[in-house]
Amino acid sequence: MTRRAQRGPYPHLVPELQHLRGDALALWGDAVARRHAFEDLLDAWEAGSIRLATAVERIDAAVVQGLEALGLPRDTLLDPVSIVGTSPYEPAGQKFADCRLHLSGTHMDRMVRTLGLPDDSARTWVHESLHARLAYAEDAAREHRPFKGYEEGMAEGLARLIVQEKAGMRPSEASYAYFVYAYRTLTGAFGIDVERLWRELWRFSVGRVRESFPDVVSRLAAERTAPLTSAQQGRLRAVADTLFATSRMNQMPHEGALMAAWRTALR
Amino acid sequence: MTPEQLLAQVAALVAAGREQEALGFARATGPGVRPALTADQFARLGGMLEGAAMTLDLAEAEARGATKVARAS
Repeated sequence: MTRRAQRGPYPHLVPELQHLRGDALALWGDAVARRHAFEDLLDAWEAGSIRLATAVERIDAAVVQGLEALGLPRDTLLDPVSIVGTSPYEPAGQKFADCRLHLSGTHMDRMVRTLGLPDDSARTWVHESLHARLAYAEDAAREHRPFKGYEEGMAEGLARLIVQEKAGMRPSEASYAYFVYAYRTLTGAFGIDVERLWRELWRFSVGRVRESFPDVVSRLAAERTAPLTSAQQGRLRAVADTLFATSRMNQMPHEGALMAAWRTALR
Repeated sequence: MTPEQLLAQVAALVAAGREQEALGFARATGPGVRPALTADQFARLGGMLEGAAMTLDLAEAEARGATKVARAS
């Protein structure tokens, strides 16, 4: 609470977001304005209206300015964000290797209009934007296919931290829940700050998060206690590969079990 | 098929590296799932499919060397 300035029209926002101006500030701070912006976008998309580009740009500008203010700037996209989709049962969004960013209009429609959760579409927008930070590693699929938790847990953890804790939004907390809790329990076990860990990992390209993981954790742990030994780093890698394995993607997180797993790395 | 069965099958296909099948299965089977997915289930599905689609794109980009010419991000 001490970080939150009690001034301005949206005191629930962290100071970095309170410094935004105009429409971007309103979209981060005002839930009703945000819902109307998503509804306007969906109306224009369904009608095939030329207003769609403006509606997309309105939300996207707010996302870009917010991430910039929070020190997590999105890199330049190849094209403006595209709204696509023919079925709700498709990816909520996708950041492509060639720097395009697509969001599913059908998924967004289900979330915003049917399920009443426009903040979840905001979370998706931020999540995909967090993937757009650096050129992807050429062999990124070799990490992402078997170990999605490293990248997706980091991106989703940061996305939720931003929209929930920094902006007071109310998205679903279910997407990639296992991986997000794996990160959170790791930082509990090692006495490090989860936001710092995610921000440090975000500095690496998609496809290089797993490679950098033990060094980053060791460096952050050293600020509190001591750097990890090479044996501890080896065990940390083994535990992380297990918990961030793609096969865990649909599992429900259990805090005690996750904490116990991480602690084996500290022996 | 129930929502949890849909989610489990999609997760299994993605974990097996059969991302294209996972995407096709969700699209074909999702509309017939009863009861309808809750918001949390829908968010879980959208996330899993996002991950599947991203892996496919990364693999395709590597195959054609596209990441080498990626302009910025």
